[in-house]
Amino acid sequence: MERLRNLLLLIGIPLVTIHGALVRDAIGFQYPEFARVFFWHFPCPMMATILIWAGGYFSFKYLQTRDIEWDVRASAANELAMIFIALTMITGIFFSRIQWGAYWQNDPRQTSFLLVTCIYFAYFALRTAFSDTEKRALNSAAFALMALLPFMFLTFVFPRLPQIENNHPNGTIMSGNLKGGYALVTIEILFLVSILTHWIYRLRSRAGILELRVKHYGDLQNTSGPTTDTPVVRRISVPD
Amino acid sequence: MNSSFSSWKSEIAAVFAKEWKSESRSLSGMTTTALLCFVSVIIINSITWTTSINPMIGAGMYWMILVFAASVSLPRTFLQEEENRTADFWRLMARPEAIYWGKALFNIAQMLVATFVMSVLFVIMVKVHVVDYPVFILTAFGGAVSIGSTVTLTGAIASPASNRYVLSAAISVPLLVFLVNLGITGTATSFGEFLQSGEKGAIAMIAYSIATCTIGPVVYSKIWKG
Repeated sequence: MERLRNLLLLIGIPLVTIHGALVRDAIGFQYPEFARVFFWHFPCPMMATILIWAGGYFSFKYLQTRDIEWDVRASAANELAMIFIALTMITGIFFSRIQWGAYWQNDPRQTSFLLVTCIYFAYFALRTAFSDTEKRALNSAAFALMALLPFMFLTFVFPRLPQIENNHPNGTIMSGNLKGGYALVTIEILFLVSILTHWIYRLRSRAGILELRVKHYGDLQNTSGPTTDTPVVRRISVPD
Repeated sequence: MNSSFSSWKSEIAAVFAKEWKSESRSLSGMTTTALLCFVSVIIINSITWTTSINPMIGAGMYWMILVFAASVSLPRTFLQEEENRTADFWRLMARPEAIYWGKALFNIAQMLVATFVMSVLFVIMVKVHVVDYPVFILTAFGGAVSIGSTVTLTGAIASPASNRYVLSAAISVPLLVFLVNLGITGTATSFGEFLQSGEKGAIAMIAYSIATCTIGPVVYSKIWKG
């Protein structure tokens, strides 16, 4: 299974890149040839959204079970989400400069993703503030759950507020305006990026869990019972 | 049923009364909030001077002042418990939900007073005209409740950390910034900006305040016992 995945990624990514280059130019763009940035831009916010939801779910599971492995999973999901948010911003800024004429257009989706970045920076700032693993896990899980509410608002509601002028077209995919070769390449890249994300997430969370077990093993070695078979017990007297 | 309700009520009232007594001795929370609001309004007044400002900009400034004033002054209800080493006492004495509600109600009350004072100062000094009072009041009320409830929880989350005062402000501001966007819609409409269904901002603010008040005690009960 792992071999199949590696083979798929190794062959799939160059092939789909070539397919993206060969597909017919999109219409309605200032520089249609550069509109292909969309292929790599589109999966990034999708993955970030899924990972943030997953991070919220893992945080909830941690609060429910107090199993520290859920915290490792939550942290891994949120770390990866931050990478995808950064990639969304970078590809978006690049697209904005070419098609709309400026790196920063005050576009509501650009702004809302920047605010989401601030929220998850706060999540990692909170994590670094605790040296104790349990406290870190507990408080950051509570924060991650709380952050879901503003995250949903910023992603789904804010760009559609009445005072907002949006450069991003709303409902292009739902109304069937993404079609033909463009739609096919978008789906292919989304599929490959999903596999890649899942693979990286599994590697990161497994590494985190292993790190935790090694640390825990060390603790056990240091404190596992008395060093002699017959422990020394001294009598003590407690004053009244 | 009745005894259970009255026990909840007495626990919440006890926490609220403790906060009230503590605040009435030092007045540090109210002083900080009032000073921040007052100074900010004076700064805006000195910048705009005789110019009347755009309703959107005015609404943005109004919410920024409230959010920053709240994020600095409100978290102290939990932070001082860690500082005075009384947090463990509360852990033994009351249910986490009651503690949360007692402190959140106190923070919400404080925030409502601050919002009222700030609104009066803002309207007089910044020279904005409120054309729709129900929308203005509803948005301000929803905002004060949401901010009070959210900052209570972020204060509780940051309280065990060593750099708790800086951290609580740092983690509460990103969570509150989006409230500014929501509040602007309602407040700008009440200041006379024509926005398509702008009054929905006020309704969304009330909805968000209900959501934070519902989630707050649940999340808090998970972290309080440690």
